[in-house]
Amino acid sequence: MKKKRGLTPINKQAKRLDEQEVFGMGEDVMTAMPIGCTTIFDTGWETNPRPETPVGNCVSSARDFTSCSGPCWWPAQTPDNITNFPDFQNQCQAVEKDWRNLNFVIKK
Amino acid sequence: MRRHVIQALTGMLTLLAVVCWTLPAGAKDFLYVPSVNTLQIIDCDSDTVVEKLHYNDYIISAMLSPDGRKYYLNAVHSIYVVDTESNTLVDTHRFSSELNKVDILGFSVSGDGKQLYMSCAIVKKKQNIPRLNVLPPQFVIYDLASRKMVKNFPIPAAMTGVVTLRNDPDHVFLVGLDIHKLNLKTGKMEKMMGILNPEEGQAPKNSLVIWQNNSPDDHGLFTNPFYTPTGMGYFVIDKNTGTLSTLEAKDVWFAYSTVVSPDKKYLYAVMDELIKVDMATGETVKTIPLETGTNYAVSITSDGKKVYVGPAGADVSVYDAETLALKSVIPIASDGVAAHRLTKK
Repeated sequence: MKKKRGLTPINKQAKRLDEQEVFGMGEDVMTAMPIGCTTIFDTGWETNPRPETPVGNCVSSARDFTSCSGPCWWPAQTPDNITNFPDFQNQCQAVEKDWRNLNFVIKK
Repeated sequence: MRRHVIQALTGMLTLLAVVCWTLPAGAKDFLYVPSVNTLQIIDCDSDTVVEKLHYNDYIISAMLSPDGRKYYLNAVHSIYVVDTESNTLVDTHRFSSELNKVDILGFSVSGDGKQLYMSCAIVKKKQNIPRLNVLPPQFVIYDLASRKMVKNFPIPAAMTGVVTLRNDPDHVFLVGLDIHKLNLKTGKMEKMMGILNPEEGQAPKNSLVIWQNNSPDDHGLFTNPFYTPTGMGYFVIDKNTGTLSTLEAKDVWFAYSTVVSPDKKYLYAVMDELIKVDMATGETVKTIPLETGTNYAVSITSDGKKVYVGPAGADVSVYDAETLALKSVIPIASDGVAAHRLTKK
């Protein structure tokens, strides 16, 4: 494990934290994009040709809204249910019917 | 006379044996549909929800074990294990903690059902230090019995599909920005097809690989749509032979996921339409707009007669595989992403 410059654990708890690794893997810092968004071309969200509502996908009240809130597909208009709103799915389990329960913008 | 009776009896016994072999006594199809907070089990004879199982999570993908006895639900940070005989939640494998955030982008179950193969994105943070460390994407081999990681290999980012091979326990296909064959013993990867990074002279492709709609007893063909600047096609991974091929589509349809009919003659694709494609020619046989709107998953019964479309919203639609006529819409409890047909004998 690499030592970080300027960070030296001074007690047992800090040492334990410093030594803790995910699955015993190394700790080289690098960038890596998560799933979704710009890394994979999602063939659906921009192409919905449906003439009646919902015309576009990934809007609240559309059938794919819940899954868009998952791993960063549409982080701007959907709640991030992995990190910041992990219980979002309890607000509206079937979004077509209960989209009015959405309250992820103002965190209560 | 006696000879004729013996011949007739022998013929009848042979016929009975053939019938018994092709139609296992008591075989019955069920559709497992994990949606938000609820797993629905649909009886494919009555097309009704016959059992429900509750949890408190959002399921991004799911996978049946090769013997069909377990159903694994990927909640991104955890894997839930459902016993398909008792239809009960029997275990939960949690991979994230406050300081170690593990996202399971894609996963599969090993041929012997003892291990999970997971494509993971891992972020670490340290208490009271405002800094996140993003580790290289990892392929993790996880032993279910000991609940420990057996091996891990660095892999390219965004590998959302892990496709196991039925006759080659030492390799899996990793599908994401490109398609690689990964050696599970050494971690060595061989690029099989470029998607975002095409081979020289070829156009880049776009493909969204989230769904593996396969059933444990099916033909073993995993298919997924891809798009080029000029058209579309489907790549086909034969899980029996470990080979990769492509099918050029004659028409462009936007599709999330696909399933191949049991006789391997047709491919069914879904997004806003249900599309039936000839597997030999790539010609569109028939297409219809989906009554319920956008749908993610598509499944087919073991006799190839009914196609189940959904979920995305809180329903699953049943279509006639031959005519694509809508037979019924089955309401489910909540929105979802995946569905899998399981035949119980």
